[in-house]
Amino acid sequence: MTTAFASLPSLDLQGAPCDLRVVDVQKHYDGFRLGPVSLDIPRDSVVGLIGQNGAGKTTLMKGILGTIHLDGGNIELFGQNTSTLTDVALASLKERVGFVSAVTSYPVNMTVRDVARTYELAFPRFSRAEFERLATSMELLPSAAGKRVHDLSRGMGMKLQLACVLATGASLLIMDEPTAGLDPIVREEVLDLLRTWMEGGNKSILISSHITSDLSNLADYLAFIDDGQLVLNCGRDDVDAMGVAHLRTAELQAVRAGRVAHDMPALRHDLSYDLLVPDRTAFSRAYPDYVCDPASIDDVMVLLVKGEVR
Amino acid sequence: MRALFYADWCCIRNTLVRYLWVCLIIIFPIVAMISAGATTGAGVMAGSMFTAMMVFYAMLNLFGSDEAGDWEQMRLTLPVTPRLVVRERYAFLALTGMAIAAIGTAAGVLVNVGLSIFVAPTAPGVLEAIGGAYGSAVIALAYMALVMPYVFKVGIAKARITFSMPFILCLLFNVGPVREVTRGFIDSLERLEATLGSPVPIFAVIILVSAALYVSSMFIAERTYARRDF
Repeated sequence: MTTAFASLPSLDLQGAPCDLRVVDVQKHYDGFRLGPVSLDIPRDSVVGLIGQNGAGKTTLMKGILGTIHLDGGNIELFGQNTSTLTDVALASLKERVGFVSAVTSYPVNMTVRDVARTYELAFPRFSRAEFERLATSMELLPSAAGKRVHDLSRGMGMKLQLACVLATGASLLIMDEPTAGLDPIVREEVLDLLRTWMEGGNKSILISSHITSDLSNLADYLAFIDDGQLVLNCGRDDVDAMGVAHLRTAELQAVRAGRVAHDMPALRHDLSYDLLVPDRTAFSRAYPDYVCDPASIDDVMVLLVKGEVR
Repeated sequence: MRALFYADWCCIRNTLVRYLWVCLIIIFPIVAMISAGATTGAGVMAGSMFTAMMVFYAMLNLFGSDEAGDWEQMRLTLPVTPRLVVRERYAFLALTGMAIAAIGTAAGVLVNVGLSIFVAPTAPGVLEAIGGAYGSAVIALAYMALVMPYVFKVGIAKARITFSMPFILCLLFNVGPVREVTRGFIDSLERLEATLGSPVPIFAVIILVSAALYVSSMFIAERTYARRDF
């Protein structure tokens, strides 16, 4: 996969097995165009999907889940092209995929017990014992067993979704901003649960989030979508290696004329520029007098979206 | 399929019971008051009205639940396909309609029995109550068959106009020319019944035509739903 900036790292999985492959996916709406986007979710890994509101993250997830029709490209789930499968084969494949929505999307009249029963009937490998263990550990059971979805708080709803999905026996989770709107304690519980689930092996997660600190603690890879295009797809280590150089105009011109980070985006402030640096060690070697701080995911996002290359 | 059946049942069970009580409290006393003469027709009318209203209510409630809180999108992330979702909904509504008609029948007979005790002696009219309640259910399901492909295509919020049609039709029946046409149609049915010597063949044809319409509608809905984006 290539990125918009040649100096940025790109992902080379070298034929590693992937639970999910997004191949040249495209979708057009009035005023918005997604893709073509290609993205791999390697087995035993967590891929964080980041981007602004309206960048195309949810559209991409909907395309993966098959709730929208793609205008181009295809989705490969566990090595099988979903567009060529029969209804029965596709339903069978979906037994291995769990989806967690940003909001609790169950009928409001259902109780916690009803939702669990629905999952139990839908997923043949659903473990009632595992659900009860998870729900009890998250203090959902026994007190909220008869509580209606309508009456659940945001955190309780997310716990319910997680307890259900993790008990389905799925090996791939697709999560659309699961930590949005959660208080820090519940958010940490959710992330802990996901880390523990990943320890089981042969599992993978595609997770989108605006809370980039969650992803920096959880994700092995990061994919950044902006305006429907994938602008960055790399390992978390690659992001950890990035930096933000704080430069004056003359310093920026010197960098632009050089060979390190010369094509990277820079964001202008009143008296200086912030320049995204793909490898801050190499940058510091090349320009030892310039200040270069480690870049957070937020810094990378802001500079890639708002920065200019001149 | 079982998961979707269960979810649909969870969606309507509480509200259906609540609505059942509303029907019992409103419809039956009104019918009993109107039918001061206490005929068997009072129970039949009450059972028929109850059945038609409950079947419509079940449909509205189910499709409304789909759209509340994005359940219709979440549902498709379960190991189901759009075709299965459509088939389940048609099957569920048909079964619910038949179950409601059974309750409507019992309620109609009870009204007749009540009138017989408290107003004037009258026959329980079991066969008439069955005919009235199941006839109402069949008509309601046939009407649903006409609108459901559109509802599956655009969702209940955008398709809500289609649910005012039965009420508009009821109003139209009071307009002179429409009333004349309807009267003529009923007269011809009565003549046909007299010729055949029994209403059973007429009911059988109506049921068969309605069933064919319902199944055809399901296949059309599968196509309209398969093209929908969420």
